[in-house]
Order: sequence, then C-alpha cells, then structure tokens
Amino acid sequence: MEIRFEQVSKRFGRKMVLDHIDWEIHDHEIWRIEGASGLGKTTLLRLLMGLERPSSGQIITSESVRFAPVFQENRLLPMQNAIENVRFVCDLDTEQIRSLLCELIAPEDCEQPVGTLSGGMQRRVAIARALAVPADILVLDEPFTGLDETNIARTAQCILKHAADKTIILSSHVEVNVFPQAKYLRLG
Amino acid sequence: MMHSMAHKHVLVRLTVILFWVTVWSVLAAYLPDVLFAGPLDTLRCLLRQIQTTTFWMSILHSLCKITIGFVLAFLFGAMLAIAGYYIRPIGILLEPAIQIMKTVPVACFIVVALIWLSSAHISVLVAFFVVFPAVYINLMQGLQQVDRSLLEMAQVFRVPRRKKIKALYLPQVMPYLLSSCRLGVGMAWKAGIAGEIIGLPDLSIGDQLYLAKLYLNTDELFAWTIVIICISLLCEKIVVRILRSAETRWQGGLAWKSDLNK
Repeated sequence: MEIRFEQVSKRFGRKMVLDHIDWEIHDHEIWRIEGASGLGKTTLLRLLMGLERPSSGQIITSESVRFAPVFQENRLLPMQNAIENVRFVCDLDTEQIRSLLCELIAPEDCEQPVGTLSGGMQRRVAIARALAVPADILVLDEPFTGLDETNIARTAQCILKHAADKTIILSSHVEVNVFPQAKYLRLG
Repeated sequence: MMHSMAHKHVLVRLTVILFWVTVWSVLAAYLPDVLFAGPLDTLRCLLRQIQTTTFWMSILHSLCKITIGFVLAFLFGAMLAIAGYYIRPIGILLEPAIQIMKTVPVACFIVVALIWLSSAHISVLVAFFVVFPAVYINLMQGLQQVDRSLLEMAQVFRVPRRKKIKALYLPQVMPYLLSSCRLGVGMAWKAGIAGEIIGLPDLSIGDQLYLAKLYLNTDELFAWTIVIICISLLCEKIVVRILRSAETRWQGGLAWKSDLNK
C-alpha cells in the first residue's frame, strides 16, 4: 500500500488551508501530524480519507485502501451502547467486542447507552471502534482529547497492540510522546 | 402504581367525554330539533342505521376508496421523497408540484377529479392528492435531519447500506413518518368524504350525508359524523400500529443487534 500527496492544496473560499503538500505514506508507518490549531491537520486527514477533494494537486491512492478513523468528534450512535456502536462498523461477535472494549473502559460501561458516558469514555469507545475494523490505515484525529495521562498511556498501548499491522496516522496536540517511532509531518 | 395511573387516565377521559355530551345535550335542548339533534336522538338513529345493509355498504365503499387513495399516496410519497433526497435534481423538479398540491384547496381537487374520473373513484383521487404532499414533505424533512457526520462516519467505515438504514435513517425518519400518517389519515377522510358529498357516488358515506342534509335529518347527519370520526380514529390507530410493528420487526431483524441478545 502506498499513498502519495503531490503538491496538494486545499482552500475554503479565499482561505488557503493547505499549501502544496507533498507526502508519501507506506505500510506499517506511524505518522504524527504536527501544527497549531487551524493549520489544516483535520483537513489533511479528510483529504486522505476521500472526504474532501484537493483544490489543486493530486492524491494517488487505491480504492481498496480501508481507513479506520477516530474523528475529532466521537461520532457515536448516542442511544446505543458501546458494544452496539462497535458492532455497527464490524462483524466481530459480542464477546470479541466486549474484550476489546474492556481494555479501554470498565465492563459495566459497555452496556450503557454511550450518550450517558463521560466525554473521556466516549472517546475510548470511538478508539475501540476504530481498532475493531479490519483496515489498512488507522486515522487518529486528536484521539487523546479528554483523557488523563494514565488513560493516554493505556490507550496508546492498546492502539499499538491492535494496530501493529496497520499504518497509523496521528494528529494530536498532546505533547506526550506516545509513539516514539513516529515520523513527523509539520504543517504551517 | 401503573394500574392506578391507567385507571386515572381512563377516568379523566370519561369525564371529558361526559362534559362534552352534557354540553351537546344542553345545546340540543335549546335549539330546534331540525337544526340540532341531541345525543339520544343521534344514538337512536345510529342504532337504526346499523341494522341496514345500506349503512354497511356505504362504509365499505368509502373505506375501500379512501384506503386505496391513502396507500397509493403513502407509497408514491415515500418513494419520491427517497428519490428526491438521493437524486437532487428529482427533488428540485418535484418541489413546485408539491407546493402546488399543498396549497391548492381541496374543492379544486374535487372539481378537477370530477372532470377526469367517474364520481365512483373521486375519493381515491382526492385522498391521494391530499395525503401525498404530507407524506412527501414529512419524509423529506426526516431524511434531511439525519446526522451528516454519522453518515460520513458510516461511509469511511464502509458500513453496509442495510445497517445504515436501520441504525441511522430509520430512527430519524420514523417519527416524521408516523406524524405524516396520523395527519394523513384524518386528512384523507375529511377530503375523501368532501369529494363524495360533491361527486355523490352511489352507496357512499358522502352520498348518505348529502341525503341526510337534503331531508334535514340532523340526527342522521350527526350519526354519520360520529361514524366518520370513529372510522378515521380506528384507521389512524391501525396505520400507526402497522408502522410501529414494521419498525420493531425491522430493528429486531438487525443482525448486529440481535447478536447482542444471545
């Protein structure tokens, strides 16, 4: 698998958000996208997943590349519990989902409608959902928002364990160096 | 606790009904019989009517025609709303037609329907024209309320269409669909009977109402009105029940949800 950004620019109206980006992504790489807020980290990830089109330049990729995203917002089904939310995107059986979820949240929270869980717990459900799907690239947009240091370390470990065979692309403000082997793409 | 609450609810409803029947009786006592029949006269007339074949034939005729009009409007309204939602040009193309159907008075539909069709089918067309825009507009509104960020999430995760419909579209659209059905059933009966009163198809409720008015049989007029209200409410309950059970079956059939109950 290889994805190539060639001179990719993205503008919204008059505002240039990304300016002539060149980027190559290969199998099993870990990328960390750095840049201050508003510099286009989320836009870059949206371009990568095909949710936006570049204003100029091109993105060379394959249709078969599968993404497992953790969006900046959790985008969970609020009336359904954590297990149902994970089940919505994959074909794992209940026990497999429960065991994955229990690495990140308490077992009793798995049965609660996610709308009633705290922000941090919802974030971890969203991460578990992304880890549950068979994908080539795990896209993490600010995955540690709302998590304390202990939970950041625990979640990062869980990500590395379940996404060992995947390419990981992380955009995060958090200064904690959770993936020391990561390559850096600096915006702005 | 629940039992006593239900009892209280029934008691309140009975009290309300009793209050309005009393108001009706008082009004009837002061107004001439020919203009305003009382509850007892109406009840006596209704009991008399029930024993005639004409009564049941008229109900059957109107019920069939209005139901056909309603079902056709529901199916076409739902299909075109879905088509208009997914294929934008269809939605844009249909918009003026829906607006016209929504604003044109029922009487105009009836007159046009009388030109196009024999009076026997008038209630089908009138019910259709009245219910169709209500179903279309409500369903379209429901579809437009579906959370775009969740649709985007489902798109990236490549969630199958069936799961998307069940988990994202159906819960959002169902309240709109139920409200359009509730509204639509009442509107179909009102407009359908109005069409029959003007078109006078043989052996229909509209025909019976017209005859009652012609001979100034106010008790018969009131009796038929009660019959219409009862049938309309019954139809509404049946339609809502059908939709609710379809929703339950649909949701219950979720492979990814039913698996959780193992």
